[in-house]
Amino acid sequence: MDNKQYITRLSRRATLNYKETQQLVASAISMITEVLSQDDMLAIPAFGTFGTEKRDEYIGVDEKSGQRMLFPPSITAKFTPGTILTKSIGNQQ
Amino acid sequence: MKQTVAISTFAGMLARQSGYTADFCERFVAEMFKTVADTLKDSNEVSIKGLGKFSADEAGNVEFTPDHAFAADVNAPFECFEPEPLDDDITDDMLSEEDNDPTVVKEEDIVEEPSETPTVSDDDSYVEDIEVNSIAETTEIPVETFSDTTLCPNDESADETTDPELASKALLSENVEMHENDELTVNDGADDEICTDDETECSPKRRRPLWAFVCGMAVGAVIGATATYLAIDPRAKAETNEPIRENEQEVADELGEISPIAPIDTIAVQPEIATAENTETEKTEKKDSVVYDTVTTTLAQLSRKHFGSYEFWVYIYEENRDVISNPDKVESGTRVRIPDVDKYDIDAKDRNSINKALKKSQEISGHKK
Repeated sequence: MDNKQYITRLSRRATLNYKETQQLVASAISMITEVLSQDDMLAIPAFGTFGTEKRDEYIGVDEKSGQRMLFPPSITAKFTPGTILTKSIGNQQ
Repeated sequence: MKQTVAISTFAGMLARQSGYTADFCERFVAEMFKTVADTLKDSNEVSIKGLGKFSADEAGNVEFTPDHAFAADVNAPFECFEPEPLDDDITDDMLSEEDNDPTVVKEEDIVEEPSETPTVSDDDSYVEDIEVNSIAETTEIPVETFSDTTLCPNDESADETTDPELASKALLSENVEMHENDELTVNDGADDEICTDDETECSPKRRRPLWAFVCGMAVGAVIGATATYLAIDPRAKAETNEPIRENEQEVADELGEISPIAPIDTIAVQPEIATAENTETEKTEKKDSVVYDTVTTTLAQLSRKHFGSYEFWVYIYEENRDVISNPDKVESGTRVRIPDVDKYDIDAKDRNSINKALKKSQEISGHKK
C-alpha cells in the first residue's frame, strides 16, 4: 500500500478529510523525529517502539573500488514490533 | 538518559503543534498505527511518506525501513560526515589505539623534551639524528633542547657540556635549522654568545635565574604589602573615625550645641551603601540565575532539554504567559524564561511531580478548549 492509499484509508477511519489527515500525519512524523532526535523512544501500544541506534565509526571496504574507507558514526531509526502486532500478523498469515 | 515517551505524552505534544485536542490526537495516533497494522495483514507492506516502509514476512516479523528524509533528520548530528578513503598503512589498531590527534602527541613530546636534555646533551648520536632527520618539526625540537641545555644553570652537567664540542653541536643544529626550515628562528643572541665565548657563557645563565628569583621576591613582597594594606586599611579607617566622632561630640557638649551630624551621617550612610550594594549583587545573582532559551519546535522539547521530561512544559508556559498567548502555537524563535526547578518542585524522577504537571496541562488544555 502506498502513501496515498494509506492516507485515504486513515482519513476515513479518523473522520477527517484527506488534506487534514495528511497534515496531521506530517505533524506526527515531525514529532516522532523530534523525540528520536532527543535519543528517546516512542512506545505505541499494540504496535511497537520507535527508537534509535548509534553506530560508531568503522573501517569498511568499498565494493566497487576496493578502497578501504573510514565510515563516520551514525544514528539510525529503528523499530521494534510489539508482541501483539507480531502475533496478529503471524496468525493472519 | 533514554526516556520512553508514552502515547499520551506524544499526543499532548502533537496537540500543541497541530491545534487539535490531546484526546483527539491520542486517538488519531493510535488509529494511525492501527491502520498500519491492519494493512500489514492484508498487503504485507505499507509506505508512509516521510516516515518509512513497514513490511511483514509470513512469520509475522515486521521490518521498518526509514524514509530517506526521516533517516537524515534522525542522523542530523553526523550527517555532515562522509566516508573517507584510508591509506593502506592505517590499521584498525591504530584507529582504536587512541582517538586523540597525533599532533597533540608531538606537542607533548616537545614539552617533555627539555626535562630529558641533560642526558641527551651527552649523547653524540643525538646530533647525528639531527643531521639525518629532514623533517622540519623534528629539527625544531633539538634546536630548542640545545638552547635549553646550554642555558640551564642549575644543572652541573650543563657546565660540563660547555666545551667546544657542544658549541659545535649548537652550530650544527643552527645549520640544520638554516638549511631545512627558514621559519625556525629559535636561536637568538644568547646562543651566539655561547658559541663564540666558551668561558663566559655560563655567567649570564647563572645570573638569569638569580635575577628571576630577586624579581619574584620583589613582586611577592609588593603583593604581600598591598594585601596587608588592603586588609588593615578599613580597620584603620574605622578606628580613626570613632575618635573624631567622640571628640566632636565632646566639643559640642561643651559648647552646648547640637552635635554636628555630618560625621554621623557619613558613618550611618556607609552601611546603607553597603546594604544597597549587597541587594544589587543579590539582584544580579538572581538575574544571572534566570535561564533563557529559544523555542525551536515546542515547549515540550524545551522541557525535555532542561528538566528531563516532556511533561513540565506547563511551567515554562506559566513562567512566560506574558510572551506566550497560546501554548499550542508558540512561534519558533520565541525567547522564554526557564523556571527554576525548586519553584515548581520539578523532578523528572518523581512520579508525583510528573502527575502534577500532567494535571496542570489538562487544566490548561481544558480551559483553552
